[in-house]
Amino acid sequence: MSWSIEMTASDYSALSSHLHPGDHDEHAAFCFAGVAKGPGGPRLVVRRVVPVADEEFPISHGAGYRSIVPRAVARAAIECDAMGLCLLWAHSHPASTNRVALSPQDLRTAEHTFPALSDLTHGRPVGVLVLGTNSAGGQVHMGTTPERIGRLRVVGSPTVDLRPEPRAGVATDERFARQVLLFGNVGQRRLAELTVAVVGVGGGGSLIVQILAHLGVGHLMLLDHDVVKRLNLSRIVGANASDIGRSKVEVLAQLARSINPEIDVRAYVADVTFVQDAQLLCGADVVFLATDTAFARHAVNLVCHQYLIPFFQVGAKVATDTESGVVDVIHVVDRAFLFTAGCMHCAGTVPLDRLQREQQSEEENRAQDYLGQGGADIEDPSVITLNAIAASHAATDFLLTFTGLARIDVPNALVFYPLEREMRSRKADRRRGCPYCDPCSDASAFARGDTWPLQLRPGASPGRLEIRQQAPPPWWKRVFKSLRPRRPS
Amino acid sequence: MHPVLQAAIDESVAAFGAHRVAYAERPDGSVRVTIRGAELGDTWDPQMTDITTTLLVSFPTTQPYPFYLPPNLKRAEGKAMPSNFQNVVVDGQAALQLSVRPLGNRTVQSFPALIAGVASWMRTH
Repeated sequence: MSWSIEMTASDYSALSSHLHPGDHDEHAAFCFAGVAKGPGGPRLVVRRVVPVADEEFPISHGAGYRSIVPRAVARAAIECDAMGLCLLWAHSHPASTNRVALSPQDLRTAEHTFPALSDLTHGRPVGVLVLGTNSAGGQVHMGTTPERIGRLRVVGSPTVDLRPEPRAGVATDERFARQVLLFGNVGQRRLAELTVAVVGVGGGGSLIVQILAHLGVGHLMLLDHDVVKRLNLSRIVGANASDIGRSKVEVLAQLARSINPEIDVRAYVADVTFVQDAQLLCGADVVFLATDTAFARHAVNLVCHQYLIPFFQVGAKVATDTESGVVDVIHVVDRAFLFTAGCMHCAGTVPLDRLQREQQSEEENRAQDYLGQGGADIEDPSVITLNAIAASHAATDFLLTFTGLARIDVPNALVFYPLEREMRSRKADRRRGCPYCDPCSDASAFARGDTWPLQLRPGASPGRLEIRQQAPPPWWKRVFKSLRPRRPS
Repeated sequence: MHPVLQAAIDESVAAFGAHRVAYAERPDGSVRVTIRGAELGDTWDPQMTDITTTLLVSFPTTQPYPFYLPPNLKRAEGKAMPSNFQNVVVDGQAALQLSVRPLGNRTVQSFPALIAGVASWMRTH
């Protein structure tokens, strides 16, 4: 299995402009990265880019063209090790455009130096990354056998994958013909290759699942710990009265498969506020957050920043006057977290009083029930039409981001006020010292991956369960294909 | 225990001394911490007390709140207790709950500073 290197668009911009300044010469940099060994394959998530000054990357008098002076290598390795991260040496091949590979000299250098670098960084993986102007490749060394870097993912708007060589074209299923006219076969293949996690498959999340299945997303991961109740039937798409008492993820997995029988769905009765449940998200390329509990929001915000997984939050809020019951404000929100701005905490979208209350015992909450609410949260109104607006906005942002159509930096939040018929965009600045999104803060979990324990409830949630559905028998797919309508020639 | 919570405990031990810091990790990953012998001044009886609170797993984003004191703590000279004190039962034990955020709502950077802030608040109220 090949490795993926993942970095933010701003880090890639800094790296690329240092490595390819336009002088057609080679340049070098170091990346300090966390490591993530999720089910989606091993990844290095870049936390910091450290350019190597040209005077420390002189023309070599031995074999090869240029080499980094030993003191610069040692300095980087020691600094990287102090942060508990993995060292990645990056350099450019300026003549390479959309195809790039390590030179024989690069391979010899890696073979000779990486055992020592691995020792200096306590046995953590060490890598060499080579960048063409529109391609990326390299190797990661762990132990004795080097493993190939198959992709450099630049997370931003758009999110772009750079690979060692161009990929062959693919034909697309006829069902996607009209949308392929928008984003092409390449975009459709991108969707088919993605693993998208949806956390919370209630009102907003169920709509997201439905949209993703129709779009042709290849792999879905659904997480929710709740069951369908009668009061959910007004807004969970795919659920009907016979589903009452079934887990929501089971119902939504069934819906996704009914839309696209070839979709791979993994459904988990799970609670992401527990470490082992949250770690399931490490197998996702992107996460949709559609839950209204503060602790789940906090957990997803933490995991996604620690593992550099882009995520989208969907939500609709109806605020009523507590005295009169009159509706004050309705707003529908789609927030994109692509590491270009502040996190959910910086944006103030995780209410801290609720975050605290959701972690305390009932006894503690009762003792702090100063307003006489019985320690419980007041239930907010929820309506399918509002959820549908939020889901549609978020899914569109996702589509633009991952099929390469995005032309501008997606704003942090797109907020629609139906009563005023107004749309506003907001961007939250990254708060200095934020323990989740500030890569400059030593205390921050940002892009640390597995090198830092997830700061959530230990273990797995008590009721955690993976709901498996038997794969369709071989004849099933044949029958389905024979029934599929054909386009007239 | 998560390193962030362990660091808060270590900082407390460094600030108050190991003999004054007692803590226990709970199954949900939070840590119940007691700082012994906090000085309250002569407006309280007794003049020294234990202050207990909880570091939730989301610390320091959620600052420790509220604080629990021994149920026998009272004002000297028979004065009335401030209104943010309340008799409660927590973990099956009677306690006096103090609902105060001595450093406001900002993120707590130093757990010992917060405890010192609670003691300071009590000395001036």
